[in-house]
Amino acid sequence: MSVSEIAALDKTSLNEQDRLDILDYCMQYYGSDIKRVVLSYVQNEADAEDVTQDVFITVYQKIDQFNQQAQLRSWLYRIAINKSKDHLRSFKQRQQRIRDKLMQSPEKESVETQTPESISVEADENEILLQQIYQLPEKYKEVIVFYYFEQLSILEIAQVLEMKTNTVKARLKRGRDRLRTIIESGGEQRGSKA
Amino acid sequence: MDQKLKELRETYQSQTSFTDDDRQQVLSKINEPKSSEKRPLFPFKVILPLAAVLLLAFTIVVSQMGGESGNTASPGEGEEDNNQDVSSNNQDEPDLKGYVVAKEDGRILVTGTEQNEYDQFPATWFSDVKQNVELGDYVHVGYSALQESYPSQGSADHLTIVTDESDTNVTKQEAIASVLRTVDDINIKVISRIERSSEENDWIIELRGAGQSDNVHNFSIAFDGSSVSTNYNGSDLLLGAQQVELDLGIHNVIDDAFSSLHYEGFTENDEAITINLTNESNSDIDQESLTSQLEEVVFNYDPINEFTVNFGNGSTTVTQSQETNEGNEGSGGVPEPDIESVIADYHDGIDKMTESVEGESHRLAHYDTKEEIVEDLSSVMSESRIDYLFDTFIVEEDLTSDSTEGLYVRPTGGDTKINPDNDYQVEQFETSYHVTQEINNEYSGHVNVIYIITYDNNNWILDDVQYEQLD
Repeated sequence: MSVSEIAALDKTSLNEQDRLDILDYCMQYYGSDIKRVVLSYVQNEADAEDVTQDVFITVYQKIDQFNQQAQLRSWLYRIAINKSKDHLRSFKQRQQRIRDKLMQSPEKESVETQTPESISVEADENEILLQQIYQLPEKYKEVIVFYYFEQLSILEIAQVLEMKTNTVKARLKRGRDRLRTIIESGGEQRGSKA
Repeated sequence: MDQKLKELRETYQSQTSFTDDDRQQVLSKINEPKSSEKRPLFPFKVILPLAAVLLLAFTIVVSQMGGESGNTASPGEGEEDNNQDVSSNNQDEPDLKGYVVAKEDGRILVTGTEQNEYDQFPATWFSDVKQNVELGDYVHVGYSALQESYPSQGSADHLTIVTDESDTNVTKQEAIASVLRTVDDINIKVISRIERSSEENDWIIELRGAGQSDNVHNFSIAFDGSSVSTNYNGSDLLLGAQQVELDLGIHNVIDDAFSSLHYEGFTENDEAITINLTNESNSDIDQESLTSQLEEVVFNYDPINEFTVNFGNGSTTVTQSQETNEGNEGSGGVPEPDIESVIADYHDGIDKMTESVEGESHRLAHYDTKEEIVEDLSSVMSESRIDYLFDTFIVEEDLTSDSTEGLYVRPTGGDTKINPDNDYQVEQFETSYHVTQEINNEYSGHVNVIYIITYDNNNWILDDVQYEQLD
């Protein structure tokens, strides 16, 4: 099954097998893209797994709402962004983040919640840089992730993030400046450590 | 920076992947509720007919007693006399609780928030409403008789507005009213959820259509009206969230300083909007002060160049002046191109177009059809350029033995590109810019590479690439 075949399907009369086929296609071709985007928001591998699974359950449930004009990938990204933001907004999650901040809990083992300083010296310089990008304000982080890492066009990012292309361009420009600072200064600093 | 970004992308990609375990988890979660749904089916086969018989018997007994039916909101059930009995027996319990979702010609449409036993959202037009009911108010209505139709029609015996004690800048009623005024792709609107999320300081509103196939739109509106997010697409002119923000902004101006005016919403026309007001007390208002306050709100939205204030008995139009219109620079409104970013976008576009999936025999990573490429990259380069690149670097079938359909990268050398880190010359022509760089390498020979940049569809794009042989 391809994107054009999915778009051609009559969404009002999908049977169980069609739904599962579409879901499988989405998971096979976009699973990793989606999971990485989710991880960039939630910054924790275990949460990224849960949220990503949740994304695909929603895909299965709402496949009939997939607008034929919309690109499948953009639609998936949009669900992923919404689910990630819902997750970050959830009460439990906020409590956890506050607790983490207060306690700086040493039991938290996942790399994503560690500060650059706590990552072992063998850690790759690029990983540290990536974590610094993740610490940028969300509005810059997301356009950077989509543009440079997921390699979406400005137009596609505007659709995915539901904003005007000029907004995307402006944020990308500012994001790029911050990125340059991180790469130039942060890279050297951390690089000499590694 | 480019090299570093490439490395970072690799690190980003190696961070995590969607594993088979993830896939299995999704599939098992999907199956969970299904199996639990199946279980009650068998007893239902017996219970359903039994319940139907009991219900029928009950209905007969009740109707013979001339008594209570309880189902007053749905049309077509019971005689008018019965309904009157009900409302007199249950004076305290309203017949319909819901939101005022439309107001016109002295009547209001009230829809319930939940479906009744007929899987329908209760919906009734009430005429001759005495109270000053606002769009978005939550009301309790008691009535005697309704005309059968959907929405049903009738007049209210008593109507109570349930006031909300919101201490927020944008009240619950205002948030709902703004959403109702904004959404225009639903006929009979239903507010199926409204929550006050004090965590986030915003109103969460779910608006759906009463029909099965109608859309569902979600809105999150900050208590101070400063930010709105929604899955509602909006119009050609403004995004859904911008429409609500602007609506709240205009409402705020009217409500704060011009209490004799009533704001009815705005309509859009090309790059202009018309703000509809009614002057309830016919008192004189300071039109100049009103339009200048509205100017500050309305012209915050780039796409709008003009607005008209319709007072009911006259109107006034304000056009954005050139000096305040920052979007229009230079002659003819065409902005200067950012040459560096046009070049970067074009190069990124080529990279994206020709990137292949790892281990999948040169299959394109981002596109399955040429149309997808055109749709995606036409904001960066001309269609003729896409055609050329497509014909040069991409083949439309499989190169390997198993013939899977799709797009594949032609194993050939790349295009000669301008290196933005080296010097290049920019020449301005009437409708285009030429960016020229001298390149001398084994692959291309000694050439001038010329990027021709033109303005298309409100965007500077790469139109064509030319080569001049130098020796």
